Amino acid sequence: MRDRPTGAELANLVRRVRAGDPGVEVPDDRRYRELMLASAMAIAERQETTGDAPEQDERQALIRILGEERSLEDLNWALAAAIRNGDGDPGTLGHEAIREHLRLTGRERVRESNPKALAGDE
Amino acid sequence: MGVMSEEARERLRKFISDAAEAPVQIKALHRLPGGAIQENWLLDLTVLEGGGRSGDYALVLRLDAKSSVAASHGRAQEYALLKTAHRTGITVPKPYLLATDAAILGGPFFIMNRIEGTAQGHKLVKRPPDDALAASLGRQLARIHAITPETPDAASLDFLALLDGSPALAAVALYRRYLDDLGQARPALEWGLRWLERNAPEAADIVLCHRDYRTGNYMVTEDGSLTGILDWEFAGWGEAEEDIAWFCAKCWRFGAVEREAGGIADRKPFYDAYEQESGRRIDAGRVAYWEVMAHVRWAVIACQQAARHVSGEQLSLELALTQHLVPELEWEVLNHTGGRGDA
Repeated sequence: MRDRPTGAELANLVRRVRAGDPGVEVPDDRRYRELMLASAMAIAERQETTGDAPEQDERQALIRILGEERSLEDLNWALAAAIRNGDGDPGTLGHEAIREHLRLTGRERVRESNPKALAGDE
Repeated sequence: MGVMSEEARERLRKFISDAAEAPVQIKALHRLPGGAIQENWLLDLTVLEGGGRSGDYALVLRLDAKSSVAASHGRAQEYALLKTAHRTGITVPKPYLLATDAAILGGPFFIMNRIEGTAQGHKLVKRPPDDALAASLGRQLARIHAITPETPDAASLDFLALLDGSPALAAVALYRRYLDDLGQARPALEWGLRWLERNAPEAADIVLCHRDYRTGNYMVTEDGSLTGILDWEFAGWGEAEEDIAWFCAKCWRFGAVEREAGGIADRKPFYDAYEQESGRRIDAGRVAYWEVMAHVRWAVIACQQAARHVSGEQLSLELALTQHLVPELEWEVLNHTGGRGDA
């Protein structure tokens, strides 16, 4: 599940900064500020390019793992609770499926936030 | 550039003058960049005639920012930590004055000596590898860890809570509570926390942990001299390897991932100097454990910081982007807890 601020929200934030909105704090250092703005736009563009597909895939995977039809947010809450409860521990029935799900969704999230961080992992 | 109102500036001048028992002239006062949790203000002043105190002073005033992070100490506690560190010979800015009266600047603040150098991590890691700096940092950390609940210096740190059981399990419980308070479902962090719970080491000797000992929180001059360890607001009793791991964790190498000691050098000079100064061996297994904890901890803090932006409490480009560090922190947690291979 995508975090907030989402890509669309970041793009809106960039527009506000570019328009000189005094309500948004920005770094004093111009170069650092420009790097941040570029980074925010890059995340927004990657999310726009991939669209809703990652979240739809994530929801379907969670429905298979948890056996329940619920919203993506509710499914993630249920998965978080199950993991805390030990239902994803090694030796449990859910272990492999949960591990694989976290790996796939985790990689997708890094691809959107900072694909360079995956260098050497793929 | 942040400026202080004339009224606040005059209240500050009077406070310092009263403490110095001499007339004081403020020559410069403006907010320094950075500081999500605290505001740091550059303060230049002259004590006009005051026994042994007259002269020019280059100082930093440290004041609570409008937002704080859970578990960070207030300024009075941080001042006590800084004084203890200074007294025991750790390289820190000399602490001068603490003000607890909120009527002066709206909250407690303290004033310390301004030290030379830069703390900016992304600049420090672009310098050539610096074994000497890593060794200095290892020795400094060993001196911090020489303070224990039993040493006389601990008497001034009675506000630090002592743990009954395992520091690792206490940390797991704390970060779970923070996640619950955030109201975000984060299965990858839960996976990491469960791994940390299942693999928690036996409790070790308890020492004073800085808890934010990393590149970015120490000052270095152009010639590589360490001039001060900064930001003591998270310090507490804990295990030595927690600090060592925080310093070496991949997330605090500012992209210089191949230099495992804070992005500035290999681990060896840092470890060797630490072991020589402390007389104790670093437990590599414990460090590896606490490095997983470091990524979980930074991820939780990043979520807390970004929540301030999302809630509208503090609209900030930097805070907004902090949330987007979390996926790679979670990825690192998964990589070390069986999320990519065997558990």
